[in-house]
Amino acid sequence: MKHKVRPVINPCPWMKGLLARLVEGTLTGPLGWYARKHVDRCDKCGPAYKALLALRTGLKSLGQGKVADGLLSEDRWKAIENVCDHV
Amino acid sequence: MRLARANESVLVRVARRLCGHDVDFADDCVQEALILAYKAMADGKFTDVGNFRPWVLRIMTNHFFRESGRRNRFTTSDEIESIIDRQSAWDSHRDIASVVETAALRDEIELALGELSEDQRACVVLVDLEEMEYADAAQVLGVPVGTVRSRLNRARLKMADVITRKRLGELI
Repeated sequence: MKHKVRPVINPCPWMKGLLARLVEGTLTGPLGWYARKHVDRCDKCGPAYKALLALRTGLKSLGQGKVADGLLSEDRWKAIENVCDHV
Repeated sequence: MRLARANESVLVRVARRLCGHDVDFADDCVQEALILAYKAMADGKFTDVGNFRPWVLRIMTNHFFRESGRRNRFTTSDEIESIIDRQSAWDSHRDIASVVETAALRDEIELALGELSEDQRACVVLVDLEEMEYADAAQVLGVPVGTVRSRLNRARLKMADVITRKRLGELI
């Protein structure tokens, strides 16, 4: 049986949504102020915020790199066209 | 066929990101989605040509969910390999630290993506890698925007946790 590992990144439950918005930069106003203050002082949310920011940067750079554009092989197109011709 | 050809590269890219190294599986998903889409259009079940892309992406991701449940064949992301290969050439002009950092990033994100459920991975691929709006990703996945948001929050926390653990040496 696979036992559950306690997460290292484990922000306060009520902060999960706020952290997500803070990292995305969409949290403003009093809530944003509260979240930033909390992150500065909380042993759990501080590391979570930093880890989420680093992850966002990593994912963004991968996304911007895009994949080498792949296309279907001509054989696959023939197979598609064959099926479609008989519809 | 014109619509299919016009959306080919997006479909292939998303499928390959979802399926990791398994290019054949990814291309199977695209092929099946295009055939199903063509049949539905031929039967008059879909006429909103302006919304063809999200609709066919939804067919493709549904097929991926169905089939991957049976196959469970996710390994690692092919995309990450190719990006890193390309980046490595570029990095040769930079200092060694950035090369090491890039390789580390690849390993960490690869590891973290592999830890996600298929639902969560689909959200990360569509929103974080394909840079879709939440509403568009929700349309593709056929779930409410709030569900995309919560899956994404959980996915990002899980990925951050996996990466942090790796950095702390707990997984090695």
